[in-house]
Amino acid sequence: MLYAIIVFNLLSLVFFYPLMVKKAWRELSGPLLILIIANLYAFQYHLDISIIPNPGNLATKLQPLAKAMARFFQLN
Amino acid sequence: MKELYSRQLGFMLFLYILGSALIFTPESIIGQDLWVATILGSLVGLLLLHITVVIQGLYPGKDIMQIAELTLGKILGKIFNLIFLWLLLILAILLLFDAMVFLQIIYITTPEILLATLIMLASAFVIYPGIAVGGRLADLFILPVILLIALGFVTSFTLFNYSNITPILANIKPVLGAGLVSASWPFSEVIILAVFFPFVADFDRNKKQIYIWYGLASITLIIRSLLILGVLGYKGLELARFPLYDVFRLIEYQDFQRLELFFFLLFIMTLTAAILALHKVLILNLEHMFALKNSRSLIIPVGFLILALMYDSFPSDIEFLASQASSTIFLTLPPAILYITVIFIAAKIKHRKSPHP
Repeated sequence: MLYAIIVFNLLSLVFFYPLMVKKAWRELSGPLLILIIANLYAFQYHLDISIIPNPGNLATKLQPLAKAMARFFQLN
Repeated sequence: MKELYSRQLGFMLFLYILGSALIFTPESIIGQDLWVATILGSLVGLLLLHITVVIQGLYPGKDIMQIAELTLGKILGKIFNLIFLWLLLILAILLLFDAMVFLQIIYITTPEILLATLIMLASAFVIYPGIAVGGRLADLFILPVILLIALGFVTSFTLFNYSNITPILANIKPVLGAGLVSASWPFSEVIILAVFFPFVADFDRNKKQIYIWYGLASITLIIRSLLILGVLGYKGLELARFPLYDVFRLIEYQDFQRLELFFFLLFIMTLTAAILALHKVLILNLEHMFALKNSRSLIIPVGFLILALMYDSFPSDIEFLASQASSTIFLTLPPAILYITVIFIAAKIKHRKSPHP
């Protein structure tokens, strides 16, 4: 994952550079926010910690509902 | 702005629906009557597609996020667009996860993270020049995909055993349940392509093309369901992770071996087309949310977000199958139905009050 983090961050910088030169901070803020969130999740996975919730947690929590649905519809 | 034709959107819809559903067969949990479940799912999808097309007809030239804000108001519209963003993110990470699981059976020794990075970077490369390239790619993919599907289906029908598909509709409850699963993946996902509607130059004149290609995708998936049930049987389906791939593995022709690898191209093309479409729709959604003039700076960060979220949410296939796979229906189907239905009702009410938005 570390290599992916480096590659995606470097490539993002290449795309951000023209905006930084133009000082288009408003145009930059959205993509930068997405990049930060992506980095947080990437590091969370890389360091094997669980601080920020992710869709997988929700899927696990919804398992009883899925089991109830399977029981109701007599699915395997 | 108008960079696509209805024909290309129809091709994109066809490729997107086949996406990962062609190989994974989500409704196979039912075993018997699998193909009936596919029919039910496709009817739900058809209804959602029709609602989406009607909404677009009421607000020509506007995309679904703009329509949400026009009909529901700025704040409520933004909340609903966040629900849409959530749906798109979930679909994107599930699709990339499916692609990884499948690719790992072919590229056993290649690190998974390398494959995922390459897929997302390839997707970024294709969508960078604009949506027209996506349309051209769909033009390019459609013929080989149809030929490979036809070839695969025709050759595998020699293995079809009629007794495997009987009895039909012995128990209706599981069929309804599997129909819901099928409606969730892939059929309800058609609503995401509503984001592309304003880019279609001949939308009003040729929108029937969208329905035609949706119908063709549904028929393809119904035949696939019949085929895998007829070839593998109820017991075989229980053990199969990639049912259609397993069917293709059984094909024998003289001394040729491993003919299923010939069809690998088919699965890669449909998976790639679906990932590209979702990546692009996510970017368009975020471009709207952040009110950006140009979305190009979003391409790489969004690709990275899909990859990072996918690994963090679903790190292992075994864990996914054991405790997450069956509940993904609740992450995708309710937001899809809620989003499009609420906008539809609001659009109808608003349009009745003032017919010219």
